[in-house]
Amino acid sequence: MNKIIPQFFTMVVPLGESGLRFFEQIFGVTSLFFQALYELRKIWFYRRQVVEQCYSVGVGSIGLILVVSAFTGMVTAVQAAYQMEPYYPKYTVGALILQSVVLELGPVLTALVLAGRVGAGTAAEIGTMKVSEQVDALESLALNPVGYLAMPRLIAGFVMIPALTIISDTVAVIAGYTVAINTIDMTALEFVKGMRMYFHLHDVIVGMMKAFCFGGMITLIGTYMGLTAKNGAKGVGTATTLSVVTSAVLILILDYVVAQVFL
Amino acid sequence: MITFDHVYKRFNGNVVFNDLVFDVPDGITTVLLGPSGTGKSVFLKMIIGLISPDYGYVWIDDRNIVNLKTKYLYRIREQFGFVFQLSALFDSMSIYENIALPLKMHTQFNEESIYSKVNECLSLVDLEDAGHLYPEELSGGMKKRAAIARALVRDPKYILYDEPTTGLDPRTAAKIENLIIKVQQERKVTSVVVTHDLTSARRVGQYVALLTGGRIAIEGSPEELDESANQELRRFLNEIPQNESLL
Repeated sequence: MNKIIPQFFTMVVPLGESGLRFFEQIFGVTSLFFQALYELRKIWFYRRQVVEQCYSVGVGSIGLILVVSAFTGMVTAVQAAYQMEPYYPKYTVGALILQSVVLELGPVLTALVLAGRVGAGTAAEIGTMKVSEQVDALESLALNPVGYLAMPRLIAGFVMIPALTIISDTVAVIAGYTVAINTIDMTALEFVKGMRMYFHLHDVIVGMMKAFCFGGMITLIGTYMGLTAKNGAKGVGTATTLSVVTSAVLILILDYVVAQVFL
Repeated sequence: MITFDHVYKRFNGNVVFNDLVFDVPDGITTVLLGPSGTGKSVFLKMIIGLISPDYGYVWIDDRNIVNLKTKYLYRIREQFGFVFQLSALFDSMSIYENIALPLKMHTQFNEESIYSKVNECLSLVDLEDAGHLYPEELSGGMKKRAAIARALVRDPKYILYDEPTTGLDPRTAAKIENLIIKVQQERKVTSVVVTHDLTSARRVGQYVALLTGGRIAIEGSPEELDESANQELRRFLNEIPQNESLL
């Protein structure tokens, strides 16, 4: 008994500490989100940063998104044809590509790729600024780091990631269409017929809602991890890893929540 | 006037300030001496509200900045220039952009006025030709000078220097010290320099204080401290390998 109680505590105390850290982080991210929203009143003051971030997140990610979405559409076409051809009419391939891309693959894959590019980049950049006193320097120049660093990135996430998702959806469908009519014995008319039969505006809206949520979340998590980085280069590395892992997990959780609520 | 009024501060149980009382004299350069880890940088960061005391007050021109609303705190910060230990230049911006940033964000100056103001500061620190360079392209001494130019660009009333000569070779350190003296003389600012470097303290300081054990152990003009038999001061000096006399 004398040994069991200390062993119990050595097991439970770290769990308690991790739990506390978890809730501390949830509180921190939520607090940062509302502070950033509050800083929206100074959007004109930080307009240059907003434009720069929108450019960096949006234009800077287009190449990557084009490649990822093209291959997503192509592989969806091949898989759909392989699985459905013996049992369903060919035009259902068009329907399947459109629905799976608009509702799921477009927003989720775009977000996962951008969690790597934008989220990690944000955490590393702001983390480096934090450990090299550049964030303190901003404060000393009477510039609020939430307004200068977090709010422009949050706007960029909310605006540019849905925009990239629209591009991704379009490219994926075009790529799927190209593969479908070239490798499966299928006409363009059949493909379009399938798409039109199963097109619902509601699916597009739900897909965009997902992209909107993912976009804000990716930049928010990256900024939070960067602003809380400590202990030099190792701390920046940890912040970057945590940003990508947390964003990836939250994307999948949010994906489920939105699907469950709106579908 | 900057005043520390019975300030207490702890970090993870370690006492940094223990009833710290200190007035920074106006219009001259005050040097805060002390061994590493005694809270010299915390002292500077507390002056601009980056770190808050656990108890006590920090007065800037008769206004207590502890727990001050962010809006008012930022107004107070606009009176300060801060030169960080690692310079803390924004590495995604050129030197020109670094120095122009506070003007672009806080003033209505047009591009022409900003250009002229930035160049004036660059020329004061002898970096006229370095405006287009990025921080990674500069040497340690040049970064410090650029950081001083950034601190000066809005004509602050106070300039705070955190270990301005640490990590620099003696020649470059002397250049920075000359610059601190020149800035003080030309701009008539109140400067606070924290350092553990006696040579530097001797050159730039018009008023010197020794921070140890969470309090000011002794303060006065360099001459007064030279003649002092204060035990804390003697202990601090004895720990210096070169056995340098004081100030």
